[in-house]
Amino acid sequence: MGIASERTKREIGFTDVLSKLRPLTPFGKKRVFDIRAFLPGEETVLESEFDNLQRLCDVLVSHESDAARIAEEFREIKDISHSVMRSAAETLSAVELFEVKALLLRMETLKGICESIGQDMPARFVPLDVSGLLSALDPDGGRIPVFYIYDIFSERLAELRKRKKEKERSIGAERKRLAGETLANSGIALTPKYEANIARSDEAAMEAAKSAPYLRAAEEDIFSVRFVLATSEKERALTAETDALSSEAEAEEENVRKRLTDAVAAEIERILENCERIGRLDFLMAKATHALENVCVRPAISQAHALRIEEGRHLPTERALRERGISYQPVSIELAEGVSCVTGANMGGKTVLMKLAGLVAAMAGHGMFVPCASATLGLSSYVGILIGDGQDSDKGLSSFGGEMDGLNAMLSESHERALLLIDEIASATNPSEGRALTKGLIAYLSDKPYITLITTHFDHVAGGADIVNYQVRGLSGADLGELASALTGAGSDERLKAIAALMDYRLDQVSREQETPKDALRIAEILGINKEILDLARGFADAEKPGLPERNQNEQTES
Amino acid sequence: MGLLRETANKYRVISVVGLAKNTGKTTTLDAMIAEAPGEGIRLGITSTGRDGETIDIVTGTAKPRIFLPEGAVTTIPTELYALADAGLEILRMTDYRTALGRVMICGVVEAGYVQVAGPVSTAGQTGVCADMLALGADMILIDGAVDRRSVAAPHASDAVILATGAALSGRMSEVAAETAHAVEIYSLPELRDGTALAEITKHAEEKNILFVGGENRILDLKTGLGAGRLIGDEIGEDCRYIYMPGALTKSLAEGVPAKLREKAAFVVTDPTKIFIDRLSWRKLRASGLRVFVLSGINIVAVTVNPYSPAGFSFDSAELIKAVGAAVGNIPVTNVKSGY
Repeated sequence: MGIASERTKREIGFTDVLSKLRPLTPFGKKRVFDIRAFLPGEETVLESEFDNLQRLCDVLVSHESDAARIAEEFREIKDISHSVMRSAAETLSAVELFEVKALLLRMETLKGICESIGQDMPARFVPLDVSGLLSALDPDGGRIPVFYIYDIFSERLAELRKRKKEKERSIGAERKRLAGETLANSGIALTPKYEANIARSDEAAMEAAKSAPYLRAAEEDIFSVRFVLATSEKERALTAETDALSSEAEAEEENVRKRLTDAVAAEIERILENCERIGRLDFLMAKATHALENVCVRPAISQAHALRIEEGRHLPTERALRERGISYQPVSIELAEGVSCVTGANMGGKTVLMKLAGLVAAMAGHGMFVPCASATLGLSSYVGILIGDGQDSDKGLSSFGGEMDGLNAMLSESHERALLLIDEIASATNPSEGRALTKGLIAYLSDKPYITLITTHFDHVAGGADIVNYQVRGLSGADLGELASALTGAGSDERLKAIAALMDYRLDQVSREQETPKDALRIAEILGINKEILDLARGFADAEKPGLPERNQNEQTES
Repeated sequence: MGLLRETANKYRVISVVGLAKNTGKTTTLDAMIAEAPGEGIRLGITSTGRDGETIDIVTGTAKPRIFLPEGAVTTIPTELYALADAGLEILRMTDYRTALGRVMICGVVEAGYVQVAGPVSTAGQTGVCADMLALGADMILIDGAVDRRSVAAPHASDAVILATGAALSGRMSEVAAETAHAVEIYSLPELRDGTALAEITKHAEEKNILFVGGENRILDLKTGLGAGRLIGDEIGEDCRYIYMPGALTKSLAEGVPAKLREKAAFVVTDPTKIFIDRLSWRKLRASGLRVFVLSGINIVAVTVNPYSPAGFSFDSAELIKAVGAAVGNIPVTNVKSGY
């Protein structure tokens, strides 16, 4: 499962990002399928991967047409490594030799394109020279991807085929001669296929046909008899000779295939190495294309375990918003080991922020550039996300039960340099215990060697000096009452868009925990919830405000 | 007449289809192929594979071997390549798969027999035809399938040659009538009503029965099988066309009341979707049935085989005359007798 479970990869959007990588060769596709993360301690290897990725991004930009030609060759490449390896043990068929030749031609073409790109193309991607073997399979140097056991492969084969053709011509001449004699002596004209249909009613013709020395009845019914040219002794002898020549030619074809197979076998390692190189290049070109298309940057890798995101974009969310005509507001955040706590308005993008942190860590960890203005991070050994969205109901667990199950799994997987992303934990249970549980979890995680990012609606759960607090700016500047009346009669999509347009998703680090914004009722109003309900709710909220009984109770029991 | 010479200047892709086994489809193909070198035509030859069809590799019985002259282009699956008697230069490996491996396009460098087999899907057929034309073929012949369900003709080929003969029936008049029935169905008119066409195209993906005319309506029924009565109940007075995404069967056509049958015509995607026997077809037509197709099949010739595998034969000239009278102005020929 690598550094994250399949579920985490899906929830942070990494699975989606991987599905947007478009390798073109079977070798590149395998690399995407087998992709694995660079682990803490492999920073140097990762940096060199990034070096190559950067160089390929440059190649895609500055050698655009060469890159397009490479892609075109890639699309036609088939994985025939099985045949290549088989050449060591068995004679390859003509079809296999065709495929080897076609592959070698593509390798040669790719090598040429890479060389024309020159220094900009890292050497480890350039295919090795295969012209020796290619010449063996393509002796006339036509360099066209077609194949046949041509005469040029063997003088003997050419000679056998020539003699066979001569014999076949003699057979043709012999049949023509017999047909001519039949016409001259019996008056019966044969079709080009040396047949004649004689009606029984035509007694004279029937008699002539029956007595013609070179005709024999092949098929008959009540109306007619179909005569065909009989085989003469001479033709029989010629046919026997032709058959013998055919067998000899076939044996010689096999000799040629053996010889060519040996030539392939001698180059197995070189061919497989080229397959590796093609896979490497294809994989990295796919990453580079993705980076350019999604405006990604090379992250700086630090030794210390940390995650700093400058103007990051969660790509799947950005795409979904774009499709609805809404622009995505990038956010920045800086996380270090210990606990960081995010509070903020409903619909303020807290969950997306968590996914973003996970996605940036996963993309960088898997050697990809990241969708940020800039980013610095230290590699994580584990990424876990817990989103309390009750998705476990199919397992028969309540949303709370599913959440606790997920938390257990996450904590048991965590070890040094883990990245934990916990969204609104315990929000599905009663507020007093939910707050206590959140507080306890934060206290437990605060001295662990993990980066923990936690979002919550509960007030005063992250009061410790070592907890970093962030707050989403939210709707603070907007006149919501006016907006709510302006939206009277609007559809839900319009209302959601209006909120998205007013929402400031950016984060502020706050020195000490502030009161959690109380925007829920206002947002509910913009979303068009019945006014009567909202008025009642406001009344209850005002009545509860002064005492904050739940919190007091909690504080008392704990102190 | 030389069939190839007659058709070569008018069509790029021709399917040869037999109305039954032993109607001489392969003989027709052989005759046209034999004409090619003399006409200076470089032929491409392929064959419609059929879903689930298994070919006996050892005896090669299911797919007839075809003699191909030097210069022809053909399709052959990888597993059949080594069995070919002809010398085949591999020109291209396609992505179309069959039970016998991927389909390759080959050029004939040494004349001989080949078990020609092509892709199963219509898209595959269209693809290899385009490939063969690109690789230098002047014209394509497709060895079509025997049963009507897999005549992929409207999409893959420009025109069809229909093979018929004594194998259909012991009575010549019956052979002529069955052939005429097939020709009539294949020659049904294409829908030209632009408004109706636009409506049908809009809903084509949904694969639902569609009433066009008045207020257009979708009938939420995927196929028409057994739905004749329902269509009869649901159809409105002002319906002008009933679009059938699937098969048009006898029971379905009969389910529509006769008085509405005259007003509303059926529309099917192509003629191979019509499954109505000759006698029912006559009766339905007499009671007002009208059918349009979205894409038709262009029959350019009918070939006859006077021999039946049951051991009797018709007089070739008489059979040609009888079939010719039944099919109207489509040329009829026996490629073997050369008439």
